[in-house]
Amino acid sequence: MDAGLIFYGSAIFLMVMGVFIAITGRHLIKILLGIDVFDTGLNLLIVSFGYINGGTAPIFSKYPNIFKNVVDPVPQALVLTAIVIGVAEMAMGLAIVMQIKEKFGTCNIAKLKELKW
Amino acid sequence: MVSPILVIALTLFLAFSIPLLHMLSKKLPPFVPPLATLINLWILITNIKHVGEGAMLITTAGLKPPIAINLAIDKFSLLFAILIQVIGFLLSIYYLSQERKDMRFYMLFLLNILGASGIVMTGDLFNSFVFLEILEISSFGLVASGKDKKALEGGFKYMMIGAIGSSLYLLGIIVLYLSTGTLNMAHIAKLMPSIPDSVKLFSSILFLIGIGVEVELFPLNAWAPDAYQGAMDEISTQLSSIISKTGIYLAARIFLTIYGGLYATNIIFYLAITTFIVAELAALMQKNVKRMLAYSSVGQMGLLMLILSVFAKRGDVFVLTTAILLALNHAFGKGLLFLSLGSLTGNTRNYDIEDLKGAGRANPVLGFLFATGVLSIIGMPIFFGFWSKISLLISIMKANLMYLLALLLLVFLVELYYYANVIVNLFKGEGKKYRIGVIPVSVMLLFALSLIVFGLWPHPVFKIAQNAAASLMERSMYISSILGGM
Repeated sequence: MDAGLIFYGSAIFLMVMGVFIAITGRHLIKILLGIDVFDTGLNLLIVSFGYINGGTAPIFSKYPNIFKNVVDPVPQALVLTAIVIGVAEMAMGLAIVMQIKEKFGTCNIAKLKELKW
Repeated sequence: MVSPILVIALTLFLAFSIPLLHMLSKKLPPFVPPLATLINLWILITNIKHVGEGAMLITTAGLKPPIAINLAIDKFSLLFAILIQVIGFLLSIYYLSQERKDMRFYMLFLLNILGASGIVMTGDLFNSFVFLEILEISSFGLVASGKDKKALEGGFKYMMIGAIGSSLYLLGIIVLYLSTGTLNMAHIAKLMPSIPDSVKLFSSILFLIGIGVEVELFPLNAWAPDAYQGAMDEISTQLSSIISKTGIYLAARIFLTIYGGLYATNIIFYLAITTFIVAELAALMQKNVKRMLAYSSVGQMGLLMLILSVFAKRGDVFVLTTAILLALNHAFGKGLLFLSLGSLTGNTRNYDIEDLKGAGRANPVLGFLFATGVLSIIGMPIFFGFWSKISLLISIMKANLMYLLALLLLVFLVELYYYANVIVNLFKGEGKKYRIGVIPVSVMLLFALSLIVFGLWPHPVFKIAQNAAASLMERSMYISSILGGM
């Protein structure tokens, strides 16, 4: 089977699973995990876009002709940034959940009913 | 000339110097945000005369676009950047009047300003994603920073939708990158004709979801009323005057400059019209005044997106000018409303319309300020809102969209009704008198004064908005000024 298909398929599967968890989850931590799984799937998808089977690192030297198949470095750089941003988002989310647990005494999203929906 | 890149660098530096300053003296942190926004404002103003036709290019890492990240500032970006700094400055002055134990709040506030100014100045698509995330993450924190139950709940709901939305925005960027091989906005815009239609549609829908969260577009706006209601009043001001305006800027930049106004505009049109009608009707039903203002904000954002999509079809610069005027009016007017409402309730966070009875009569200054905001938002003569609404109606009439004109007039009547209801309630019966400090009142007076001054002398603002709209329309000029003669 084509390696690209496996990468794309599993990444998209992770994304769909993440959104599903985030939507159906009732526990706040579970929702955050869902968002995190979604982000991970997205990151994998982006990396696999730039991947070439048998490709090498995009390092330019004075012998430019040695490497024919270079992987695209930009998606990897983007994913690195996206991972860091995802961590920041998770940190902020967990901080809010901690406060919610303290104030509401529950992590069940159905019990957050201070505001009218 | 001072390089506008300092706006980003300096704000970041000052934001993270707050903990150090806090160690020196506990009194210092509140003074950092006014300082930062004032310096930013000065930097941007010195750059006004350097921004001519097309966009001013600021390169980083010594490489010419489309290689490295670059800032691209045209008149449209400059207008929004200055708007952000002005509102940010006024709000940070407002914060001086409050006792706050936690210095991290000021960091979040500055990071929020940083994200917003970054988005309006950048010329790189991925860079705009990074700044969007900075803006969003700091706004989750700001919304939740009220530390009471409502604020936390609003903040969490905002985070749930915002996190998924911005990830999809990233996916849209990647899809465009795959088909063009570049991340530079001008370069993508230039290569746009060579992209297959299906890719254009797919990526523009992904962008729409990402930006739709920020501009509170239906069905991505479920967070908005809760976040507005839950957040502190100053944060609601920030949401309506800075964060959502940045969203509008991003929508205009991406759908007009990059896509050339061709893709997803139909979808935006129908979503925006739904947002506008549903939100204004929801505002009509509200007994809670702050939630009413929140729905009204969502409705106004829907109206702005509606005008953008109409413009994208017609390509009329006058339509776009009215959108900018409306955005300015809404930024100052709604900001004033949220701030003065907070003071009218005596910061008790009880916004029920019954409990506000007579509050305006008991506190005439606050009542007058609130009334100024309302009058400008509903578009009474001598206020700024009048000019934006009149020119909106004229431009719709000129575009020969009679059904839209009828709809707008109908919805404006609804708006008039619920705002009049609040005003009548404010000045009827006996209310409690509250003590308010000099600083909050003077900040609100500045907001109100700007609405009246712009209303009495609309020509300069009109001219600025027209220039900004023209520079947004000159897509080829933007591309050639960034990429050179390529």
